[in-house]
Amino acid sequence: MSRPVKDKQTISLLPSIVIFAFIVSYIVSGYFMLDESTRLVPLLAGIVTLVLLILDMLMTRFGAGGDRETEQAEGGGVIVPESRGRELTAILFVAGGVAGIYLVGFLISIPLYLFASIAYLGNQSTKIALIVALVASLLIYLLFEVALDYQLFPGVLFS
Amino acid sequence: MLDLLLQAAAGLLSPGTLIFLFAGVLVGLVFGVIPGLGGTTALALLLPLTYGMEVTHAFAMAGGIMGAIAMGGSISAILLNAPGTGPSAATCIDGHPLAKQGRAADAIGAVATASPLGGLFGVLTLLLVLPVARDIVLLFGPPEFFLVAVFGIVTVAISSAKNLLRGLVAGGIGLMLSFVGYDTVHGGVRYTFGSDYLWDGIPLIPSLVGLFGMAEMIRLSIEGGTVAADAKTVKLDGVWSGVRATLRHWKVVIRGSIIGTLIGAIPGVGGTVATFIAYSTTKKADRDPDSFGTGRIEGIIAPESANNAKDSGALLPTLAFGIPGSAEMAVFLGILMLHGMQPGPAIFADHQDKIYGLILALTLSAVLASFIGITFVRWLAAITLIKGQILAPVVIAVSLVGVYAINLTPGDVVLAAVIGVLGYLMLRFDYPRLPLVIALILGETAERGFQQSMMIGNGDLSIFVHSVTSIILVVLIFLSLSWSFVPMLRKKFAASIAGEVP
Repeated sequence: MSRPVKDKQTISLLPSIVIFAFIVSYIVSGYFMLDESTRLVPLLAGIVTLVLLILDMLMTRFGAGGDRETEQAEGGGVIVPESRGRELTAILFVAGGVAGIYLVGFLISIPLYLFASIAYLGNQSTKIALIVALVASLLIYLLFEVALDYQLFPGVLFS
Repeated sequence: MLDLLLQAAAGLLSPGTLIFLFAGVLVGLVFGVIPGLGGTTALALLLPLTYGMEVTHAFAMAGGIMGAIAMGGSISAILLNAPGTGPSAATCIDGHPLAKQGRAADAIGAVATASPLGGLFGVLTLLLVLPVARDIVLLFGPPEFFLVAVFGIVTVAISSAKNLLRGLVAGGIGLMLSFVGYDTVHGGVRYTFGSDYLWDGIPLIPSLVGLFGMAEMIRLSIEGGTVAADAKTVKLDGVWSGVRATLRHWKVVIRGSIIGTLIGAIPGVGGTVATFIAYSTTKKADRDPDSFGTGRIEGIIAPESANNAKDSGALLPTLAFGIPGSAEMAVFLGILMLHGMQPGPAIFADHQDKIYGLILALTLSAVLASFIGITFVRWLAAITLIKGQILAPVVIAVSLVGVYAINLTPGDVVLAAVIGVLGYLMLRFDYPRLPLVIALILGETAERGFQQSMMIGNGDLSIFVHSVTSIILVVLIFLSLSWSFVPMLRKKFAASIAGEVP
């Protein structure tokens, strides 16, 4: 009966393992790449954080912390685990939008990102997606380019 | 002093000056609402424009911006969980859950009352403290700066996480990230891996926008629905209950204002730390601390009082020593110097009327911004009724443009997105985001304070208990840790033992 609980606890350790790897790489790269005076405080912070993380992992593994995945520390709500596919799609849309901004600039990629996100990720009608994308892009253009006189990034391909 | 105040009031209330004050308030509200912009950007844009202005007009506009930024930043923090400014991030913790429960108007009403009250408290304190300003600022040397930074990280880690260890781990990671870039103490660069962009470290505003705004919007786009969980429950006319709640919790207002004024006066620590410490102190002092984060009105009142009070506190070192208490004050320092006013003790003798004019402008702008906020609360709260699938991409797009506008650096856009995804994963796997941010802000102060203290004390750690101020800070840190660690360990081991008993 206790096997599923243990499996759940092991899964909940995964983020901690990723953080563990990050901290260890931070300490190792700092130790070998930085000179003694500049690495003192970063390594101190890294080692203390590593100790705290190991304590947390031990608590999660052997304590009552294995079922925390659905808790939310800030805001008091509950995060219901969504399908991994939808999460990945949402993150990919943001990544795509940012990649678009980097390549072709704000003025082209913002309307495209808005339209695609609202129509496909948000399952809204094409008409609504088009209207929101155009109105929001126009307002962004008027506020930043016209009113505030910023030159919005044209993208590496056009700059 | 009364003569000077009346003289300054007469100057400020002239129609010409009032127009500049009103313009400043509007600019402040707009820049505050848009995540990524904020007071520093608004003042930086204003700086060249003030060149041809009369000093009184320039100060009225600057005061208008500084007073209204807090209100604007908190509106987006409550409605979208995307703090318009750094100090408004603490308002997200209880403000956004209130918006989700359909009580956005209550929350905005509380902000509109707590902000000017905090501002008023800060101004009164500033007027009283100005004569002894120098002595107060000099109480803080490198060891005290280090200890204030540690205290800030510890209190936020404790208050923001159900699991103290995870809060401290997040704080530790924030500290580690704060060391990326140029080492201001010893020279040389750290952890940049050849990237020029990282030389200045991990910039704060893109990090804040990513961790709070974008992470929340990614979640909203995944879950769908509206910000307010049930559109039918949204109360658009609850603003007066928020006002009444603030007046009822007057002790929270005073506590937040005192913390805001004190922390604001410490150069380099800044408003974000002040609002988080005000929040965590109020949470700890409450009979039911666990209910914070679920939409407690006190969780809005405390940081909002501190948010406006900190401006007056930050004016102290800026005017008295030319040491800006925050980035916003650093830009304001530029406005002062552009108008031929040299900061230092002499400024109070040479430009008394203008200084009092500025202080009054700060107060009046906070009141004016609150009035505008209350007037438009129905329309503002309606944002929570927009479908998440539509709202989330629009907010993400505006945030990315806002982040780019700070330094006109595309790297900031990429960083905000990366940190946004990180923020979502932290939210998903129950790692608190607040300690990471606070440590990112305080990392440099902590390191500089630590290294300078070690140099002064020849490596002797007793330097950290050499003064009454530092002893008080050390005691506060240990009390905070033991207050939270002991019950947590007791609970964990009790649960562990109970789990082993068949």
